[in-house]
Amino acid sequence: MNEPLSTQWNQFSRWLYHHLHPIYHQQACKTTFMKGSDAVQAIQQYQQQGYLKSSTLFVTLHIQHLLSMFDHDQLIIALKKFLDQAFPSNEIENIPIPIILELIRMMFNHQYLIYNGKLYQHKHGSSDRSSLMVLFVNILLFDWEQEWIDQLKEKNEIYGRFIF
Amino acid sequence: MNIHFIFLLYFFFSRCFDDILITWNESKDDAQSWIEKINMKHRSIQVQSCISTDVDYLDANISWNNDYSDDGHKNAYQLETSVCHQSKSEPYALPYIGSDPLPMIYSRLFRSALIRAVLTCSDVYQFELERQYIESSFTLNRFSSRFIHLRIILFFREFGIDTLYFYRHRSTVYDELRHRLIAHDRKQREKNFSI
Repeated sequence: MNEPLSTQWNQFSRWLYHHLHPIYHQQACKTTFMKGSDAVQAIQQYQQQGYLKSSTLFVTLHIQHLLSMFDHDQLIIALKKFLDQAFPSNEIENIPIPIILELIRMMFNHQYLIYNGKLYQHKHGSSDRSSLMVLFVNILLFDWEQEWIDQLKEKNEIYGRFIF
Repeated sequence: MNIHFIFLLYFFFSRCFDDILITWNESKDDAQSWIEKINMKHRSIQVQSCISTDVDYLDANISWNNDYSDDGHKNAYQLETSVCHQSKSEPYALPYIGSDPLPMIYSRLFRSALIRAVLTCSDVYQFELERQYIESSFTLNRFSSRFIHLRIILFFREFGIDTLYFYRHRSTVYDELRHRLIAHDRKQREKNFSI
């Protein structure tokens, strides 16, 4: 095969996205939202069901410079967890998952960019804004947020018990 | 960008890529120390927070408070939501909603802005403010008042409301308009999903 490496990566990228995207969405999106009005409707439902107390506060969190700062190792660990659970046969279309992870690791180790005439290598984050990279980061965050959701569950269960 | 949310019994959690919204039932100080813990845990994921009864999330502003009524009594708590215009971009810039780049069809843009206004604004007073804002944006971008008025009439007609009737019975008609738009939005979402 004499195709340039970027074409091969693009093919791999599209194939991988095609397989992972539906599974991620099934797991992570109980309801798929795309805009602020969707969140508004959900909060209104929450209020109609009586869960907003007079002392309730809203907290918004914004992850700063996510795509430039995320840790490669942390992302690969989250991906491994996700793939192991989504593909119990340990392969996708006969390609073993360890091989897929190796390819992804290799990609992250070889991200270069040229700026002001100098060659740089990404040590964290990525300048790739493709759907696959966004999906990878979503999988990372999906893993990251589980811990905080579990803690919120615990806090609010206690709160609930005092009220009811 | 997809948002997912968890609607568990006692709290609300939602994430849209790098923006998260949570309800919090303890004190503000507790929230701040919890957030510090989050930032300490993974140094590569740092969150910036805003803890309040009035927050901006994506393109909406969500406010949970009780106002004083005219006779000085505190009203019951109300959830007020409206459209939030990011201050980073120029004020009164045309509302480029949606992913369609060129060619830009301005009539559809106006309609999308009105749809967003009804879906996001909890009551007719917020909607009226937002409608005026949309009109100002288009006026400042050299659209004629004829264009604007036509767009508004067509919008109401599309969703089965007579414009004059709306202005006479605003509060009652607005709820009905909002119901119709929520149903329309749901259908659009299902259509997008099946693609």
